This record gives sequence, C-alpha cells and structure tokens, in this order.
Amino acid sequence: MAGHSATEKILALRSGKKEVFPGDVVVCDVDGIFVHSPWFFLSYWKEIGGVKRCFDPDKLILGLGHHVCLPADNRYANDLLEARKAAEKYGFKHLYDMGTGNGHIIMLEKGHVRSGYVYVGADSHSTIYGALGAFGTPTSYEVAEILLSGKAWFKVPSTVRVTMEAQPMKGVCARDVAQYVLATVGADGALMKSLDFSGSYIHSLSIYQRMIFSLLSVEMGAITGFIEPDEITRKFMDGRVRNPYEIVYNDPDCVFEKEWFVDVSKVEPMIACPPRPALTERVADIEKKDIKVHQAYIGGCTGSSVEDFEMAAEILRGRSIHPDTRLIIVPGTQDILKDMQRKGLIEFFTELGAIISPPYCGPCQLCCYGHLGEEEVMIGTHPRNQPGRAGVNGGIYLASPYTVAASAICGKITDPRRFL
Amino acid sequence: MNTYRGKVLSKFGDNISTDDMTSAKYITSHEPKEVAKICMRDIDPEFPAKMAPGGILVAGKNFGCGSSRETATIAVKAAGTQVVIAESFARIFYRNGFNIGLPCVECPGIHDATDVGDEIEIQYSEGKIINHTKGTALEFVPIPESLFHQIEVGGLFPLIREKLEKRSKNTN
Repeated sequence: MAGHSATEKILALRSGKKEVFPGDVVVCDVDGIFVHSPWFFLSYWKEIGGVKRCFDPDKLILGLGHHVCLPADNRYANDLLEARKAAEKYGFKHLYDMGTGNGHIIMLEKGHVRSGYVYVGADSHSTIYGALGAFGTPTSYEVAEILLSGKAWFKVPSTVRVTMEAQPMKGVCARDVAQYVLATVGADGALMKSLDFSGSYIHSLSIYQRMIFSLLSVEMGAITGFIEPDEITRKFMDGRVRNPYEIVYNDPDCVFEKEWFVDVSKVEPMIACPPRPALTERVADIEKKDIKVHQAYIGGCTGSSVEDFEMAAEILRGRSIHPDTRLIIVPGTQDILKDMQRKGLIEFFTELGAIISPPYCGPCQLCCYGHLGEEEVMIGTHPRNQPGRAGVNGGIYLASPYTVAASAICGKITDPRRFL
Repeated sequence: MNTYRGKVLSKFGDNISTDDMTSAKYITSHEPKEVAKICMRDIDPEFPAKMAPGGILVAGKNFGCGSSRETATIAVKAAGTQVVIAESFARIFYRNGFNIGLPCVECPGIHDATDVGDEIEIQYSEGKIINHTKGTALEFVPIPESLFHQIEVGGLFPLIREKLEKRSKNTN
C-alpha cells in the first residue's frame, strides 16, 4: 500500500490515530487559533450562553492590528474596545494590538506556529501556516466552538502537488512564480485538497517568500498549502517557538492525486488582473495595454517582508516615482518595520516621496485607509483583487514588488526587466 | 428535513466570491437583516428583492470562494435562501453554510439543467433532485442525516446551546 502524505500524517498524529486516509473524518487537537475579529466569536458565545472560559487561553492569538493600524471609524474603535475588555475577562494572553501588524505573519514570527501541528484561523488566508510544515486551515464560525473544545473536525483531504525546479530569470521572484502556479492550477484546481509545494525552488526560498505560496493556496481552493520543512524552517523556528516541533515529511512512496511540474527558469513576470487572483497574464502583455497606475502598493499578506521592500528598492534606486502615481509602503509587522529601519529602507522610501504606513494588512479590505477613487487603478503585492476590494469594482492588479516598483516609476503597468 | 420542495429564485455562474456576496464597500452593520439588503449588490442588485423566504439559489462552480467573511453566508441565508445548490463549493462557505443552518448541496450538472422559476424537490438522504417543471432528475452525494438536526435548529450554536441545556437538566 502506498505511503501517506504529510497532511494525512499530521491529521493522524493530532487525532490520535495510527493512520488516516482521504475521506476519513477526524477530530484533531488544535495547537493555535488565529482571530482578527473576535467580536464574531464573542457574539456566538452569547448565543450559546453561559460560556466561562476558552479551552486554553495560551492557544488563542488575537491579531487586533491585522486589518487596522488605526481605527477608521467609531464602529471599529468600539469593536476593538469590546475585544480588549473580553481579553481581560477571559484571560486571553496573546493580544497583538494596533500597530503590531499582519496577524498571519505575527503567528509565524512570534513562534505561535510549529511544524507538525494543527492551526486554524478565522481568516481564509490561514493556509499560510503550512509554510512551516504545519497543517493550517481557515475555519470561521467554528472558531467559537473550537475555542471551547480545543478540537476541530476535518474530512481528510487527498493531496495534490506542485513541484518547482530551477531558478528564475532576473526580475522574476517568488510572487511571479506563485502567480504562475495559481494560473496553472486554477481557481478551483485544488478544491478541498491539501496542496503540497515541493522541488528545489521552494526550498531555496526564505520562509517569508514561502508564505506567499502557502497563503495563495486558498485562491486555488485548497484546504492547506503544505511545504516540507528543511534547514531553513528549523532555523526560523529555533528561538521563536516555545514548545518542541515535530517535523513531518511525505512518505517517499506517497502517491499524489495530481501533480504539476513548473520549470521556474521559464516563468516571466506575472500579474493577476481583475476580477480574481487566478486571472493571470504576463506583465509583458498587459504592459502593451498602457494601463495608468494611480496607486502602487507594496505590502499585504503576500508582499510585506523586508525582502519584498529590498526588491522594490533595487528597481527604484536612482529613479523617481511618476508624478501621477502614489507609492504606499506598508511593512507587514513591527519586526519587519524595525528591520527596514536598520537597513535604511525607511529613509530610502521617505526620500523617494512614498507614503509610509504603520504595519497592518494594508489597503485591501476596507477596514482602514487607502481606498481608491471610482476609476483609479492600483497595482499591489497583496493577495486579493475581487470586486469591492479597496472600494472599487475593477482596477486592482496584483504583482511582484519588482513589477509594482517599475509601474510606480512609469505611472503605468510596466515589466520590471528593463530596470534590472 | 428529509425532503424540501421549493422554487429556484436566483441563479449565478462560476466563482462567485464572498466579496460578491457582501462587499466590504456596503457593509455598515453585521446584523443579518442589514447584510441581506446588500447581498450580491454588484453582481445582481435585484437579488434581495428576488430572493424570498424558502427560495432556492442555484450556482456554478466554486461558489463562495475568497475571503472567509462570516457575513457572506449570513447574508445569503437572511435574504431568505432555504438551500444553495451548486456545481461545487469553496470549502469555507460550505462549512459555514452548515454551521449557520444553510444547507449546501453539491450537485454536478445543476447549473445547466436548471432555470430561475423551476420547481425543485430535494431529497437530502437519497441524494436526489427532481425538477418538477422540466421533468428531469439529478443525483448528489447525500447529506449525512446527523447534520439534519443542526440545520433544523438553525446551526452549530443553537445546537450547542440545546446540548448544554439538556446536559444541565440531566445533572439537576
């Protein structure tokens, strides 16, 4: 009999079973729960009635500063106030408030995720935790119940795999490759599956760049986006995670339900066009359409690491921002912001005339600021461009920090390779 | 709830996202009544008027993809939708549906075989959909009967409340 995928092995381990098979329903112990909008589960607790405590206050991570770095209105400010009061009442220990930044990245940076365990988040992008070799998946209403029982049920998914080999050409980075993968797999190509990323390319990337793949898994319909841990994963976790981790690999004789192979050296700069993240084109083709850019944005769950800002700076150094374009810089977290400061990146972008925001998840949802005017166009490194995002029904393009920077210089969507 | 008979009042295509269902642009409150009013506004402004209590919503592939926002399922249900039948569902919407007592039926072939106005009968435990208007039938993987009660009481939280109340009665 064929071996098991790492996802099957983690779900077996955490449900106390020797082995599990796709289609089995398992009840797993949950090691961490990410919540950015606790008012939802608090209202469900009221609906249930009589809730006194959460199963383990150490397992709940509240990312109040995820969507919002400063409240945009009273409604939000009041929601936050209620959340802080609840944290005190129920003894929630891990509260990351305004200014701390993007909760998903905080989950990894602050050691709340470790290889081999199960994590859920009341946010669709919770597939990101797979970047450390964990099983991470979104659950929304159920968080209210998981917080009481410490357990979550899953139907064991079958596993599909994307194998990426070789290194990209100049001007192409992880975001382009991930966008290419998204186009290859499709918006529902991994629906209800565990998506496994393998090959020499993914293992050559830093954890921050791997996060892009795991996070975008949900845009392919996947339940999680798993990356086998390696030395880079261990180094990232060491000194961050407080409890022992357990590295889980795919069995060598594991059979994947479907496999895609990507020759990374052939991938060109890619861009997601409205109205959905999977609608992918080559930047070179979109450039021909002369699409004027009003807002260029570097930040978000898929583009707010120091490396992303360094890539942008590589293009922008010695050049200037187009007068009709504003460039917005949103560091992912406070740690990233500090690192940018040390590296002179904050000074660099300030001198350039960019708008520098406190850390948060960025102008993607409408929770904070950075909305667009009705006919304006934004190009950003963030993950979503569905109608309604940033307050407009079209006009949102998603691309790499290289492409966003090149577009900020030219004031229109531009292939970055000419600047490298 | 083994069998439900009702009218298809709304039909959508593939990849309808939770942003389409409740665009952050229009959300001013999380109250079910309020989010129902803005449901599908940009893709079908007439949706809240067309959907009525007991109505059936038919959709294409990957229904409910995108953000995990809680308001999306609440809005679809509060608009009056009794059941969603789609070619396939995005996972979060699917789970959320059952969690708030909105059954989601995955039935390949439903989109092309059904029109707005059709009278449909859903046999949940048999996994059968009969279109009485067209005289056709389709099959789907049956919904586990263990979920029926959760749907009837209105979702996961009323179910937990009911269980806790029963438990405290038994201990008293």
